[in-house]
Amino acid sequence: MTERWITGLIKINSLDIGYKKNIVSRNINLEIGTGISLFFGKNGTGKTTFFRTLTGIMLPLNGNIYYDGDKLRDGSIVKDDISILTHKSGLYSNLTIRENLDYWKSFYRNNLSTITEALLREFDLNNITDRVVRTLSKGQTQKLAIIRSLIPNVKYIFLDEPLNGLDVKSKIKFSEILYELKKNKTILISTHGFSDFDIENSNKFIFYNQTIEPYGKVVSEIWGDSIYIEITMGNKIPQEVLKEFNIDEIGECTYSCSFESKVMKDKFYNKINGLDIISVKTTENQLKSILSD
Amino acid sequence: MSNLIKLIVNRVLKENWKGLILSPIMYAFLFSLIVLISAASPELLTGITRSSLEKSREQLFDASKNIELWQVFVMVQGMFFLAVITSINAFNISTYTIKEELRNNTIEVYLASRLSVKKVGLSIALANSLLSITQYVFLTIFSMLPCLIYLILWSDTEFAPLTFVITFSFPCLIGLFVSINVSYICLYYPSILTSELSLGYRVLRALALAPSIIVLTIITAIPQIQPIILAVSISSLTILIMIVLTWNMDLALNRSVILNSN
Repeated sequence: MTERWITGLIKINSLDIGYKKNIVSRNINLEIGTGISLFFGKNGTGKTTFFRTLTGIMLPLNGNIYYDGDKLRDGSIVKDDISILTHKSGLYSNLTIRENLDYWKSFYRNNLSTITEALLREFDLNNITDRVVRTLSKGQTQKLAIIRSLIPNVKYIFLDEPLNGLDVKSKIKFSEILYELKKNKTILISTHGFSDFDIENSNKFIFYNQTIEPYGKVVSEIWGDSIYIEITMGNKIPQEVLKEFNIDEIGECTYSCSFESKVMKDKFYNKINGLDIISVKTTENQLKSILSD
Repeated sequence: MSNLIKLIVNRVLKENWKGLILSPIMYAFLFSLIVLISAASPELLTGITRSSLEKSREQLFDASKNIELWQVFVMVQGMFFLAVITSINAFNISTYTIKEELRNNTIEVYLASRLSVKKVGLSIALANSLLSITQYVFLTIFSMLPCLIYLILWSDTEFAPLTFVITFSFPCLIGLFVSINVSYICLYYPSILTSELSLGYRVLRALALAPSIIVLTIITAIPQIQPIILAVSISSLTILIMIVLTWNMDLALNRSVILNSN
């Protein structure tokens, strides 16, 4: 079976990205399938350049990108299946919300999704469609930019820091919409925050050491077998257990600890067996350490 | 590509239709004022202009007819005067359009679509040209048409149709020349657009105005030169520059994206 049969697969081979002599990331080798893929990275690590190269806005310095086995080229047919939310809005500031949407609908013509009106309602923009874009707040502009990027009914959606400027309520709504959309689509999201996404149900990649690696690989490279956890209990962990495993109490019934191996971690769980565990976080703090500027 | 041209034209008209109409009206008023002054008191014209108009009258019109200097001005220099105005408009339209595309990052959305880089660049340049020519048409309607109708219907002026066509098409060619070249230069060097006070912006404006001013000067100084020679030269040059610039569009838009991101 050739790759052509696999739908929604992006394959990246030995890709170098950047501007002329300034290589931002090099030797990127990835396979990205359907569903949501999160790309974490500090500011300036090349998230935007990566998305621009993947969507054909910029040419790669080296290497190739394949969409379902078809090589990405200038003007190639695979680009009919791509939509991008760029860093800036991609909206005309002197046109109204409705005029902007009509403009982009005319641009994509035959390939329109049917969710535009529903998204306007979801984002509370349906009553102000005659407002000129330059008069909107940053959050409203960002919401409209998200809607704009979802106008075409495409297989590959690239969202470059989509949560910028959104309030908490809108972030939750956006997340819901996204996880509704992800069926049969390949959605790539760049972000330097991760608490707003369902990271357990997403593919995770990280900009690390001038390249992009699967998150799990980076974590094991940095920590080896050590495992960091942050655990919130319904009641206190006995003092002798805290001492035995060198556990810090970082809040009311909340503890943090690094275990050298999975065996140690399992031993710890055996000790607290029977106590009420409310939540366990393992990845978030690890990511924070990598991503902190 | 034609869809994108149509969209850009419609969008600019929607955003700025008042300015696009008001500007020709303002220039038409200025033109009419000059015609009226030259009709009322030709002695107010400079010596070189007067002698140039007299030479044009000798060359282009029947000596037995009583053709006034202002009539020659309308029919000969008038078109070249309009070419200067069309250049200004073409420059303004092109810089406005590209500034908007870059500022809002819409150019990246185009580049991420199936349209090739060359097609995106060419569409923007051609949309700007269409708008410039539309403005020229407005300008002609508001300024020249009343004068020409008067001259054709109520004066005994006889004017060769070919000369008519050439003089009318000349500002069009100039508008095309300016809008295409300014568009491409702006896409190559988008940093020019960051400030209207920058040296680059001023140089670009001077470059945009130069062809029409040079032609107006040549026509005024050497009236025996056939306008058709100038028209053909300018159009050949436009086509040549357009081909070279379109060929290098990948580089231009890559530069735009890079500079816009910094």
